[in-house]
Amino acid sequence: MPLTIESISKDDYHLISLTGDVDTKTAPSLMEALTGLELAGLSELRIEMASVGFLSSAGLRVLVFAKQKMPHASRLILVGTSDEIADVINKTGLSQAMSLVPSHEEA
Amino acid sequence: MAPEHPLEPIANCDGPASMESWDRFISFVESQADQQLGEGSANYRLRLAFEELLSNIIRYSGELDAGPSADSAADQAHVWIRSFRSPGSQPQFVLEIEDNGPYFDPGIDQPRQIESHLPIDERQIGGLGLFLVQQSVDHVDYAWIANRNRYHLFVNLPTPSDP
Repeated sequence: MPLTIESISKDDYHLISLTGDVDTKTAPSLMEALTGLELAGLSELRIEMASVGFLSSAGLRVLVFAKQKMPHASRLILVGTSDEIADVINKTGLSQAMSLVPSHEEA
Repeated sequence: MAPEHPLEPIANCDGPASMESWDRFISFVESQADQQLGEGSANYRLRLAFEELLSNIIRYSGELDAGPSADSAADQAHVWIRSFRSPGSQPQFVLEIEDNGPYFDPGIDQPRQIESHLPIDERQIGGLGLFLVQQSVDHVDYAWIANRNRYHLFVNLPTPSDP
């Protein structure tokens, strides 16, 4: 499934909204969107995941890349991940680097 | 566990080992997973394992990193995907992925560890894909047969005694 990406600056965080699959084919476009941000100056990046059906290791590597470029005390928040995607993130131990929350109210 | 009975063929699909075939291969496996496993976590995990192997195959066949460099179709690596059902006391759905690209034994039979205890800044994230392959299916194997790389992904199917 194709991936569409919307990128919006909010008052105190940046929001990336994803729709589709983040796999080997589409991860480069997410990487491009993230490298277009000033990651080193971001204190909080939220990624809306409720409409993401699939996340492979290629997508995980992009998320890890973003977190590594952000300041140490920054927050990378994934909003609305499916149970399957949350399971992959937990299995790989990457939940220590990103927060998984069900909704923006709980971010 | 590997199957104890001969495999019963279900369907197959093949094409060049290139990103041009990506959507067709993924659709084939999604369709097979939907038919044989139904919706749910096993379906998702099979696709995850398949996609990790497929991206490795295409990468090692040269195109993913270097662009389409093959001079002709005859020079291009090819991928064959076959699905099977394995009967027996523990029925299984089996996906066979074969390619004629360069020999590449990923050591998939050896348990893989990831550095999940390290802070994210110190993590090496190579090997994540093969770790996920192992974690996602009930059994995986690799063999080099007749100058082809051959993988099997096994997913246990429910048995009559399962709740």
